[in-house]
Amino acid sequence: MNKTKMAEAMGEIDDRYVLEADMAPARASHLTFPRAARWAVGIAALLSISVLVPNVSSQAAETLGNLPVVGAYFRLVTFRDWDYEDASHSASVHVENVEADGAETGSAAAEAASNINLDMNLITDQLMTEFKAQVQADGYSALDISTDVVTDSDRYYVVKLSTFVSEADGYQESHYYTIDKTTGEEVTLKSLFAGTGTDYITAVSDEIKRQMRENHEKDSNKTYWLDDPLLGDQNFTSITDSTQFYINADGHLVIAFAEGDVAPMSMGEQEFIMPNSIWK
Amino acid sequence: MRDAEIIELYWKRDQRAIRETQNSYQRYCGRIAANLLASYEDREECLNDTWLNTWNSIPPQRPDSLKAYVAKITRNLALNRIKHDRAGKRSTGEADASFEELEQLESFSSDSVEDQIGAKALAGEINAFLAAQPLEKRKLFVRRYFYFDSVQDIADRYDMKESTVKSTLLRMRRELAKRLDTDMGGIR
Repeated sequence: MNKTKMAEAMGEIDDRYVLEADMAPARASHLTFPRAARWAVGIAALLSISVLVPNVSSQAAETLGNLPVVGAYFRLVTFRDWDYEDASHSASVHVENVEADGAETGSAAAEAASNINLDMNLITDQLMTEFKAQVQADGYSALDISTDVVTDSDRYYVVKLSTFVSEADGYQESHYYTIDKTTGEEVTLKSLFAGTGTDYITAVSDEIKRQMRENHEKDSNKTYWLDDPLLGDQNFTSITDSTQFYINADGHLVIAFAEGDVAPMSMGEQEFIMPNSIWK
Repeated sequence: MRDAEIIELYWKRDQRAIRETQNSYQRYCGRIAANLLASYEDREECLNDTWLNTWNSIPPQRPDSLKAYVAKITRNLALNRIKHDRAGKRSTGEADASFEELEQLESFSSDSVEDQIGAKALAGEINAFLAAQPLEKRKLFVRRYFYFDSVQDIADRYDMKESTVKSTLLRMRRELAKRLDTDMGGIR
């Protein structure tokens, strides 16, 4: 009998299980660095707190009386709480994970929470690894990561992971995760437009370009990577399935871009609110 | 460099992709190879083949996770070496222990069934099994049977007793075996 047959089958497991098992375990202990590391003279302080504490937002509590069809109740629970500071480096990492309270294991709500948490934690882990490497190098660096509930309406629960990394320059990027409370599933752009027959990529992209031109007309200081012959294929042409988006508290679809993606970095992150006619 | 940027380098056929992949995942893949292969030379060859295989497969592949992608390549390459090792000397002791534990799951099948059930079908069942597990138990199972960590390493990693790790894995194997027997018994 082939002694590796079952082992080979294990090699085909879902990527998220491979990644999830390699994440550093969350411990209620002090920060650990390689023992061989020696810190430069002049380090002022080292703080590390890793605490698991329930964190229920008051807005979420108010919706308890109107449980959605899925029967689960989403909330954020502190997952990683870490601060670091020395003479030329500082970090503030306060990341919460989504908990689908009341959801059965394997249900859509539990799976949505698990996938979202995996993505947020992978991003956090990677940035923390890069920061820790920077601490051992010369120069200045800062890291700031936090989570917020952007929307907690009757229909949608939206979590935002905000990341800010600063070395020579600062770079801000946000990641949005939208859950449909009626199904418990994480919403994708594709799923929002499912059944409409709309070429949503083109419709949304055209609307974004229209708003860009309108904004520039109203205020010439607002420039975008659009219609610029010097930029060539760097001009914004189209969104993709992985473009960031979320549903805001007013129920509007918002398309979000990181700094520098569709406009100069100096203009910061960019958001475009879609008219309901495009997607409803 | 982020994974998405490295993958773009592959697609542009920029050989910096190989260096960036090594920088990011040399240690990670090295650990997988070391858990499976006893000799240093085998591990080095396995890693070199990993970078080459990755270069040759992206494009057309565009993995969502480069990390998981190279992990699976390293793991498969190492398993292939073990599979074709007639002397039975290439694998580590811990890998052999894991294989024996997994072989317990194969007791549900006859030889004819074994011929019919490919790795993909088994993988589907294993994925469904893992999806139904609580997060912490799922991690134990994957660390043991995907990464081939020793029981001691798993116990240290998750701050558990070795006996607890062993008994948890045993219960999980029994649960998976029961599932395979139920779900795949119809193939006979």
